[in-house]
Amino acid sequence: MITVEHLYHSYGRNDVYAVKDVSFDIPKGEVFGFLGPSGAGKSTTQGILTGLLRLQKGQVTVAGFDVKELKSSMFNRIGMSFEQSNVYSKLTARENLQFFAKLYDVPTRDPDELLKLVGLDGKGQIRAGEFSKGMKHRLTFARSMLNNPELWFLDEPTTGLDPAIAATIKGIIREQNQQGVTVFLTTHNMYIADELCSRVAFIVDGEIKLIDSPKNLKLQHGQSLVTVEYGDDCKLVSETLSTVDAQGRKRLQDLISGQRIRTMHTKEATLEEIFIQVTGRELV
Amino acid sequence: MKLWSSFIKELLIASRGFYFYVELIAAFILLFVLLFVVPDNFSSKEEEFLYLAIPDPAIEAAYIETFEDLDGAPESVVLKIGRDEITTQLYESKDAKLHVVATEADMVRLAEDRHLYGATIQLDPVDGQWHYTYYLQGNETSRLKQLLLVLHAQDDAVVFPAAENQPVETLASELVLLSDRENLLPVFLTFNGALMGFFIIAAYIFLDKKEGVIKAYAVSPSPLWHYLLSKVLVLTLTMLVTSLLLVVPLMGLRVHYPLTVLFLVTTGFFASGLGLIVTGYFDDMAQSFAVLFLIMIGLMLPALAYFSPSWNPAWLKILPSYYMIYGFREIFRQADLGFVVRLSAAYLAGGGALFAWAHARFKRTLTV
Repeated sequence: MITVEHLYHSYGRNDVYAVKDVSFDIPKGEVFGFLGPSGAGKSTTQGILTGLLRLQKGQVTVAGFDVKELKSSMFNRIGMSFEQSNVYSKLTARENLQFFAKLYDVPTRDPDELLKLVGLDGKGQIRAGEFSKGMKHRLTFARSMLNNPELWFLDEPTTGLDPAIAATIKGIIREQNQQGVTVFLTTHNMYIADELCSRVAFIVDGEIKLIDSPKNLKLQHGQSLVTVEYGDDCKLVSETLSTVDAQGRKRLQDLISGQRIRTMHTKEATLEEIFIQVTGRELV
Repeated sequence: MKLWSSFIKELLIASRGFYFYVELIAAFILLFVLLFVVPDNFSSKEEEFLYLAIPDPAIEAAYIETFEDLDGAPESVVLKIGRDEITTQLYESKDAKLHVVATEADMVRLAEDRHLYGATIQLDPVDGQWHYTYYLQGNETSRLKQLLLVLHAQDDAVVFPAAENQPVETLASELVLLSDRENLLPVFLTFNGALMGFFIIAAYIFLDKKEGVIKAYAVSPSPLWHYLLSKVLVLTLTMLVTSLLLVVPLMGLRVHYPLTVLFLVTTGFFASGLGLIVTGYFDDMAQSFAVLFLIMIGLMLPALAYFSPSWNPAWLKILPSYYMIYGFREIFRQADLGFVVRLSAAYLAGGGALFAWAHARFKRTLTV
């Protein structure tokens, strides 16, 4: 669905690149996470893929369209939800969706149905300018689904949302993906990436450092550890033990047989820890 | 269809915004000023103060008889300077208002206070010669000063017949003469169209930039030029409505409306294109303020030449608002209508070029 080969982009059109030699492929039906700290080149890459930025160097194909020669019909097949909500504040929520629906050449979804889906049921008559930040974000998210996109670009889709609404949004993303929609998810939130993505790419300083599935990354970079809490002379003691080396396994067996264990958790590496381990950078 | 949807959306947004009503209120204020504040014709009578130092009352009476008072009966008028009151005899002819003052000191005080001309006419009792002393304001041109000197270089019997016999050729006798009030309309229409259109489209675009909706539009199948053109169309429509709000009550049926609409639309299109260019280079109103201000001042300059025809430097003619003012005047005077059509074509072409430039700029500067 997306093919990127040796992509470069420089805002100053000089040797200072915001994106350097980036290459990846996203097959149809995948949720691809593009992860990196602020300024890593995530938005630049996404901007080129969506035609917001002009392609300078490299080859990019999106939904079968070469972005070097953008055709308006490409936008009938893609949807884009921006990190910063961008809706007409003087139009109502319904008018916002109705207006954008008229810009597509393909059948579009019912605005009221979309508003209900994102939890804005009954808010269609309210001007977007009177919405809270979270409500505007949901309206922006709903707008990106108007044309039933085959390829869905999501930029920080849960930012600023309360946990319940964020869960709803994640549920919608999963549901759309199950229906065959390919998702390009840009985020610096490793938890949402871990929950939703089939594969993730780590990008730092405009370069992709690694691409793999979260599961493989955890297997490759995580350690087999167990954190055990047990009672010792009326005190609660915590200990982390390896399940691989003999000494750790022996110690764990002793604790189990001693029936002193209160809690026991396997400890696998988080994506954030793996990111720091691989890139040497934090996700700020 | 997409362009129509964008246009309707822009119209809806404009009607819910502040600037739409600013335009309407401004038009109503201008209409009120034209109808109720500006007289149909300004008085062009020169007002002067005169002290007659003529020792012989009989000669003075004979001299005064030469004043051509309209009703033949001078009026006794009391003029105030601060708390002081000065009584003058007012003689009003078709060209001037002449106050004859009792003392030279009062004449000078009145001339200074009112910033008008004063004069003393003295008959020398010894040699019987007339002497003229003028009290000017200091800002008169050397041409006027020389004229005053020439006026008394020869005998009246020579100067006045020579002046009256100057050949005057009327070049365009079929021109419709505009009243002073109607003569203001071209300037008001230019400012209502060019300045308001230029400024308000900038305000609309900056608002959209702030809300980020241009990016949302850019990732839709609708081309960016639809977005820009829908803004221009809304501005042109509101400008057309507010301009006709001025033209209809003032000119009635004495105007070529199709040509007026054509000229309003093309000049509005041009001014909107100019506004689009500025918004293509700046992110918000604060950043662009200096440029907007300078362009607005520049667009206003031709009005000075319009009201003071003696000041009409060649460089002023490169400003687009110059031809807007004179184009409107030609329409109202029903003079060279072909000139107006040619001007409309030029503004349409110029507006199209500015639009294409702005479109390219917007496409290049869209960012993530």
